[in-house]
Amino acid sequence: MAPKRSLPQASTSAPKRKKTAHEQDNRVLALETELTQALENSTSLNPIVDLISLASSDDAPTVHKALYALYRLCVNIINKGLLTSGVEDGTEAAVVKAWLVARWDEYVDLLSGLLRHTEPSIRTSALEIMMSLVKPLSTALSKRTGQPRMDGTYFRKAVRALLVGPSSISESSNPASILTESDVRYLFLDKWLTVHDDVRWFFLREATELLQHMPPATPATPLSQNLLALLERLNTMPTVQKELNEFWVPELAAKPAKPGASATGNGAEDEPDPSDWLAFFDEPEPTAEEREKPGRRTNKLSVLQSLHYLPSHRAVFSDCWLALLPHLNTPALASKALNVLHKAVLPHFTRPLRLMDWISGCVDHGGVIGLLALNALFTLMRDHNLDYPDFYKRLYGFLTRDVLHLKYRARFFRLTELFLSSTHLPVALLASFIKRLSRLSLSAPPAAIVMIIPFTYNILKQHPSLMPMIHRETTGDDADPFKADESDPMLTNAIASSLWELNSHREHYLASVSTMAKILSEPFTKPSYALEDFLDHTYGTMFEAEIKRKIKYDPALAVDYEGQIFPSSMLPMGAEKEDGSKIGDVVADLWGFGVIA
Amino acid sequence: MGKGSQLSQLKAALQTSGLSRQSQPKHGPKRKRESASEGKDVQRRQDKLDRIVQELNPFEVKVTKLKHDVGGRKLKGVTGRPGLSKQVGLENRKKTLLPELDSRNKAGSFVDRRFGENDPGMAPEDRMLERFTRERQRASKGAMFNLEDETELTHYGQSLSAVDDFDATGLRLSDDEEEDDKGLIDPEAVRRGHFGGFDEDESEEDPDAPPRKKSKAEVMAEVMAKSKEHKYLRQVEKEREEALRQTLDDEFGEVRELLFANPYTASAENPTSAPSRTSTGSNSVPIGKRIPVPLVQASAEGKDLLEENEDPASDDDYDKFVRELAFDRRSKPTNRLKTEEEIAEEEKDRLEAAERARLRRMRGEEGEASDDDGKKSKRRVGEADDLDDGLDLSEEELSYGLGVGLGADNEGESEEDEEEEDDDENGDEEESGDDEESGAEWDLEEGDSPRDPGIDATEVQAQEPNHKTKATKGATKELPFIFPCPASHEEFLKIVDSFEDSQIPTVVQRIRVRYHPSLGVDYKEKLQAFLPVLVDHVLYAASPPTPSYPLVAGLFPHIKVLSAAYPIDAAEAFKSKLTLMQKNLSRGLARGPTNLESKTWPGPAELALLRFVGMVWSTSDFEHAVVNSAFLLMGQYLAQCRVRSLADIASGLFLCTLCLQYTELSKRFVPEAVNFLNNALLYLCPHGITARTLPGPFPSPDLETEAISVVRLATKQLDGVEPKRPDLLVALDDDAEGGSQLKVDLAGLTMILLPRVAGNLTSLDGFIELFEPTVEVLNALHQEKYSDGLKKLHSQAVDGLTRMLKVAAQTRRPLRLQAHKPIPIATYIPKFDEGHRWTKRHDPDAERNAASKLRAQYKQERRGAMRELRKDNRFLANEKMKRQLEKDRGYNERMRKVEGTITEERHEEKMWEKEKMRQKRRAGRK
Repeated sequence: MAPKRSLPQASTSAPKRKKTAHEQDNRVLALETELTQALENSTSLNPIVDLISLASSDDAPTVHKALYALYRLCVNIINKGLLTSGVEDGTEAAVVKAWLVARWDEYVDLLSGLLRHTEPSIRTSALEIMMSLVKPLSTALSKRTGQPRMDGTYFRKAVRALLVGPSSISESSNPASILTESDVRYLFLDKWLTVHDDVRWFFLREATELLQHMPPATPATPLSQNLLALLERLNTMPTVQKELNEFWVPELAAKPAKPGASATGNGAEDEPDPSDWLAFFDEPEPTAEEREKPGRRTNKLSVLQSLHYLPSHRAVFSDCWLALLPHLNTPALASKALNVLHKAVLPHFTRPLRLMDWISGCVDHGGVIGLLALNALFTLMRDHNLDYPDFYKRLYGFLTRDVLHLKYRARFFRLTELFLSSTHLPVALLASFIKRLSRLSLSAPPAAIVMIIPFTYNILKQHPSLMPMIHRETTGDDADPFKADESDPMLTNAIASSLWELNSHREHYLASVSTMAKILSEPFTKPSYALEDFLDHTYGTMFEAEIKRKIKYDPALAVDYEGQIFPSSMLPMGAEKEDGSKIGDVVADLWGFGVIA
Repeated sequence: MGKGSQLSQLKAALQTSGLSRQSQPKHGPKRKRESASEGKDVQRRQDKLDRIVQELNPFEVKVTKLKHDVGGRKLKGVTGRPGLSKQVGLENRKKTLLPELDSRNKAGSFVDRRFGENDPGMAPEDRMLERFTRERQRASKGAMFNLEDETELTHYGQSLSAVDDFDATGLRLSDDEEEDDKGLIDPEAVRRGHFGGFDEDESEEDPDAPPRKKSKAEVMAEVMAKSKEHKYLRQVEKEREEALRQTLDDEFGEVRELLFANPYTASAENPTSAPSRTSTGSNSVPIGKRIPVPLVQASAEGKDLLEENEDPASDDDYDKFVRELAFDRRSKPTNRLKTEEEIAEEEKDRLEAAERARLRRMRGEEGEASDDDGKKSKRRVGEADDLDDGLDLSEEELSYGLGVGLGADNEGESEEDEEEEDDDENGDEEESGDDEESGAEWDLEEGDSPRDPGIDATEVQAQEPNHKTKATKGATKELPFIFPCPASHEEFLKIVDSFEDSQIPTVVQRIRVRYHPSLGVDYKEKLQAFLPVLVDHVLYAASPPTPSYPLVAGLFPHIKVLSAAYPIDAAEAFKSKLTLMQKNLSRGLARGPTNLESKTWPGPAELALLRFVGMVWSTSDFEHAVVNSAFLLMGQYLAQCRVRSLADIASGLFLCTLCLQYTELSKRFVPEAVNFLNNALLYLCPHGITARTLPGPFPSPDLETEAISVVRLATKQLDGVEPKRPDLLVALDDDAEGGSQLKVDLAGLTMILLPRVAGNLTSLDGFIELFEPTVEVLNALHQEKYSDGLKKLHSQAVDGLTRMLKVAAQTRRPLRLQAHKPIPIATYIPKFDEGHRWTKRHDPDAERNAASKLRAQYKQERRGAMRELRKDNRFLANEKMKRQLEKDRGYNERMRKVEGTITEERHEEKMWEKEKMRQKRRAGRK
């Protein structure tokens, strides 16, 4: 049962130190054997204090050994029920118990502190021990109470230690230092949070409670950052009832006594007992109510029942996210959350519309966050019937001078293509979009241009009434009627304009872009371009493609150059030779390269 | 047909042909005369009669009725005479097939060649007569050679029996013969005696006198005299030839000296003006070199040769000469030298062709082969230091123009100090020293340039086995001539370690000369490996802290020439460097583009390489292996690097200038450069624009950062500072931050660049949208405090741009991109051909047409052949049947006869028996 021990390579250089370390190891061993015997013989347990002090020493291997020794002792103590046995106050046993409980708390605090130790192996060991202790504690509790239970108080402490840090330093110390280390985070995720349903359920509940006690702070608290780091990787939310089958505390794995009482369709199917159908009809209200108000379900369902009930899992999940989101008030954190929101979070929400306010707030914020929030907003609109007024106007507002230079360009255009693919959109609106895009393309990188051109082609192909934008026979007023500053895409008058800007790219320096720009002047015989092929280009990928191309023919050389390559900086700008000719090309004309005699 | 009854028609026909009896007047004498040729007449009459009969018989003529008769045409096969043609066919078969049938199963046959046998028009008497005369003639022919006849043989009118005497033939007997005549008859004697020249001899002696018969003694004497005379003449001729050869031999030395200059003797006498090989026109290897004996001696021995005539040594020489001459390559005729006009013309043609090729590549319509040609021709034209046409530079030439000797020891030390400084500073600058491929590989200062003070130029020479000890003296002053060809930059650094920068181009030159590909088998590969080394050295030389641009410029011609010789290797070398730069850039960007520590913008080395790309390669091509990558890299620099200091702006402006240089010919559009120029104005000059009021669609990420507020010129800094030519080295130096002069320089440069870039792009459709924001930015700058020069530049930029914008606004029309020729709707009206004739074949495919024609012909021929064969068979069957009938008839006849005889005999026998019985009965009754 003992967790796997991974001792770090003791890299002590001085022999003296090695010797002391050796002594301390021996001492840990001696203490452990002494205490084990003491437990069996019910003699003095005082050496625990020494062991704890050893465990809080500086020497990593000793700490390691002491921690595990203490862990084994604690398991022993818990199994014997020394911490919880009901004894009257005042007796000797009560004194011993109180003393033991104090030591126990000390040990737990020590473990919490060690979660942020500088030594990685100690950090992970502390976490391993901490989580392993949940088992004997819960088992003991279950035995005592006669029903399967999780030791809530201890688990709350553990969660707090993980998310906020040890209680002693939580208020005072530097927030950056109490961010959970990534190895601890990953270990917790991989071993417990994403695997065990009960751990997840309790963790989410405790985290929600922790969040509710804190007001949203302007610099995001370490709690919210830690929690976000965990939640954004939590991708194993169960989707069907049957997936609730992994439990860390073995007692909790037992099915609740009356699952049918609270089960919905799934539970009823599992339960073929005909006598139970009455019960099913007798209590429809609680389930309905639970779905409506998941927050109060704990009142209606026992913990065990909730653990085996999928909507309850969803409810704690939703509550946790809803509690967390107001805390994410920096763009970086919000964009992190938005990155996963539409894919990993929304599907598991009990009522995704509860996210509406936050998401629309993000969209209104604009910029990168707005772009990212569009995805979630779209999911809400499509799947949950959200009515979002002036959607296209806002979308048009996203086409700013920066949009083509952003990292999330491809993601935005993927969505925009979807939004604009409807055949029922007014032509004036689409014209505004492509006109503004083509104007933005004048300052865009080549990767964005090769994306915009097929995008425009597809829209033109789908709406032939837009063709005057690339082909207009009328002569007359030549002024461009497009109103670039108009924010309403219906009023820009773009349809009366021409896409000169896109056509300019025929002269683009890159051959591929130039070739791409020529498709607008070819007959529109292609069905449409698969935009996905053009979305994920960057300078890097294009450069790589260019470099990897094999040279088949001898590359052409420049015409002979007669003039200075690197002229002196002492010459005046635009200097000329005696005979009136330039001293070289434009570079030689304008720049100097050091003082050359 | 005719009129009237058949009978009247017959009569009329007979009358017209003169056959009717009434029409034949009977004149006695005429008839007698005609009786001779009566046979012929009868025949003719018969023919005529036949014709009349045929014409009268309507069943002889077959008429094919025409369906639509059109007058005035002659048609074949409308009327035919089947009977006649059948007759003709039968006749023909009788002539050809019947003999074949007869000669079947027979091995041979006779051809009767007797005279007149096959001529039916000949009477048997005539035949006999003719045969007889022929026989007589044949008999008389054989008598010609009959010697028994009494005819006498003559020769030139003389009787042969009279000439038949051996004494007169002039045959000499063997007593007085000379050794060389070997018993042969003297040709004179032969000519005279053997029926030779009666005429010439006589005319020689005395043309007038009548032929007199010479006495035998006279003839003999004459013959002998002539023979002696001829002998003498021959000897004289021989001697003369001998003398001639002698004189030639004597003069041979001089001639040879003229032909091939002997370096030994020549250098001894006249060291400076040794005749060059090319002046004599011979391209052979001078053979004088191979002879150990000096030529003066050789000619002296030539004189000895006259007397002694036998000198084995000189004979050997001579033979050697001859053999060498035999192996000597014949000189070929060379083209005449070109006149100046022709050279100018050719140069013009070459330039025009190169420009055409360039334009074609710019438009992207690549014709590779022609392109290659163009390039080759380009390569042919020699540059100032082109070495491809052979080893022109002799080693003497190389030693000239190198006045600067190697510096003394102290100079080397100072260089080393500098290098050490390089090490330190570069170590600091290196962003990630422990990353193995981090370093721009060209930053070789860090540790891997081994500074061994012991190695100097002399040792380099000593290590070199090929080294010729020609210029060793004063090696500290001069460069050695021979260097090993370095395969890596480290080796190259070792070589040039101790030389000054100004000498390095010469070192490169010598390496190129020494390893010219025509001089060794693997020299080509060595030079190909040398090219990347040079590129490395460009980066090395241009890298901070002491970039040496003169050295870089000195390397340019060599890189250009080597690139022209090995374009693909050069392109690969450049591309590998560009890849490295891109890696460095993306690493810098990953560290954060606004991070001051990350190295994003290109430094002097990178900029020098990009400049070289623009100088070496044709940047106007639509697609180019090197230039495309370089363009993308520059675009990425300009678009993704963030401005943090003045050096960044300088680097960006230099990139913009390079972009302009790249696109000057092709007039291509670099959005990133225009953006950066706009931003540079905003970053450098004071203005009132905020992110909210920023005109145009271009992004300006650094508009309001703190770094920019440091970079931006304060209004008071502007006072009276005139813009000058910015110095790239100063501008890129981070320490020189904040010089208001530099800021004004760069601002002025931007104002110069903007209208030039715009002027390059006036043909763009989106010109207005592109440059309107620029004008707005320019107008928004606070220009009150500008110095005069800057003000002038500013107003020039504004004026130029406004003018171009005005023109663009006037000329721009709505796009007409879809003005394609309308695609015609397919028609279903059948195509009519006015002059159609069914007899003609109308297949448009000529080959198929010919094939069908041939097929039809074949079918026709086949049918014809089958018909003929059928007729043949019928004829043969007929013939066989006839013969069978004949045979049967004969048999029946015979049998009938035999039967008749037998019956008769039987009858007689019965009669006899009856008689006998009768007699017996009579007797019995008796």
